[in-house]
Amino acid sequence: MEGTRTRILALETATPTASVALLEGTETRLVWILERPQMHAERLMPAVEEALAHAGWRYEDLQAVAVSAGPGSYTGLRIGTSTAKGLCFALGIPLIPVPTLEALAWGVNPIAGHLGVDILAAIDARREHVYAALYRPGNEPELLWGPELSPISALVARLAGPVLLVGPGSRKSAHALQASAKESILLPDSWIRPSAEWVAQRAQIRLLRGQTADIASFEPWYLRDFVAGPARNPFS
Amino acid sequence: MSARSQVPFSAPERVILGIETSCDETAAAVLVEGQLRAHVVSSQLDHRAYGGVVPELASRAHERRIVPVVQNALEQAGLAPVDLTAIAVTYGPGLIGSLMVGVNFAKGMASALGIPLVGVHHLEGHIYAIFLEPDPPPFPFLCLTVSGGHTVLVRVEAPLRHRVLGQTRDDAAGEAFDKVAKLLGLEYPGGPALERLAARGDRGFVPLPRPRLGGSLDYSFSGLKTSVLYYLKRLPEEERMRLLEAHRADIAASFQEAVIAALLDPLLRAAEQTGDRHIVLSGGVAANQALRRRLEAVCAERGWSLHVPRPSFCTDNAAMIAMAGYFRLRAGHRSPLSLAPQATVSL
Repeated sequence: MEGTRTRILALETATPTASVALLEGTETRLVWILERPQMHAERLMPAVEEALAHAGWRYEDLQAVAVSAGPGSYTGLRIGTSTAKGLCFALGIPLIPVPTLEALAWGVNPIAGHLGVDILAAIDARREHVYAALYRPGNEPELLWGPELSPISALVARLAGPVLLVGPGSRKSAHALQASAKESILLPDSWIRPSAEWVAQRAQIRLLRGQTADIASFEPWYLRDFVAGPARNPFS
Repeated sequence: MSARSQVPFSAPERVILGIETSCDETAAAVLVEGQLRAHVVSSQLDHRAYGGVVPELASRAHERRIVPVVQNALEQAGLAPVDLTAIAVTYGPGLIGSLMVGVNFAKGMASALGIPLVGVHHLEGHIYAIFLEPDPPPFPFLCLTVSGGHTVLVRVEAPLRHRVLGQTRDDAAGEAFDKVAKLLGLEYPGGPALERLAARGDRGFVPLPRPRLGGSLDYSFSGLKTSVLYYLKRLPEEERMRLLEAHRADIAASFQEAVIAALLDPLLRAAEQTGDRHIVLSGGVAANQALRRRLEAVCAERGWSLHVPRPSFCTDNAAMIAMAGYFRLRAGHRSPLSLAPQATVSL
């Protein structure tokens, strides 16, 4: 089957971790991760070119570009989405947006399945909030609720059973759960940070299902409408 | 050997895509061998209700528009992405979220197409806009760029050799126009509305201060705006309304007069100091007819020649970015793929 040899470039810039991955069929060819905020715009494209060179791929070999589509940092999402659109537009190939929390949950899906617990994927939002979603592990993880922007207290109140945490909001969530005597499992940071590898794997599945985006109209999933205040009275 | 045949077929400046997203205009243009082939500007009108550009809304709108705008420009030029030989993009100064969209899109495209990328300073775009016109000035020339975000006087000594002689120390002239328009109860963006109003007002109605910055060629407009604010604020609301009712046009004309005087003074002194006889007026406020007429008169009196790009090249656009890119590419400039947008960056 041709799909098993599909070559995908994936970009993950939704959080302070920037990542690039190349996937061929089910095989991960390369993963690049940079744990450094505020450098995504500068480092992403050089990393993409380097990754392709390392793998010995040319742009023409790609069948699609995948992007972590949110929720997350607005600036991070813009960097990933704009870069992906530029690549797809130039190459005439499909863009596959992958929900950021879905990619995170996918990364720990086998462990959660083994442990028999649900997955709480969480990303820090400002103040006492997280972007979160709850998944039940399986061949195809089942979304139980979310993604939503939630005060951390509301999140704690909502969870009953133990959960496996994933994503850069894990530590914050774990502390809050612990304070309420609720059980959660916190893995080492390097296991639960965002990775373009997981974005690429979810994109592979989405591509087979035909879940691509129209690059002209696609917008990141900010999850929060932006509401500006009305103009102020200049005399007050 | 003709000049043309010395240029290799694949010279990077042959087919340039220009991209501009520094504020609230999403723009793309195509320049083929220095000639403008396509020019698309999509303006965001959604900011009116908020009385100014809301950065997050502007960034989101750019993300929705960047592909249609670039596609439209390529269609206008009758070209496909693979026909491009270089991409020029504004990297600053401007709204950082807005710049992010254009710069990252341009980098993705340039890398995928394997063609050079060149980052262009937004003000350099405004300076080189005049080269989109059939009769550009010879070097050296003085360029006054006046817009909502900038007021800067530059001596352009040779291609890509610029010396900033003066710039605003606070508000840009266009910003002062918009703020005073707001005080006069005009809808955002108030600059053009203020100009229309001023056309039928008495410019001597309110004496407003002229900024004096010693021998410097710098500008300052915030004091002028504050003077208008205090002039109106000293009155109780009802009286203020009556005054505005009767003299809105007169106040607008007085303010516009003060701005024009403040803009011209350093320019004239600079021309005297440098001996330059070619003056370029660019930026969104260059569309102001009163400013233009005054400058025309001043130049005619002294035998100087005034060059003003047409209005669609004065407001933010990508044709000027492509043109500045054309100069840069021809001089061998390239930007690395690590090019990152910068909210503030000097020329």
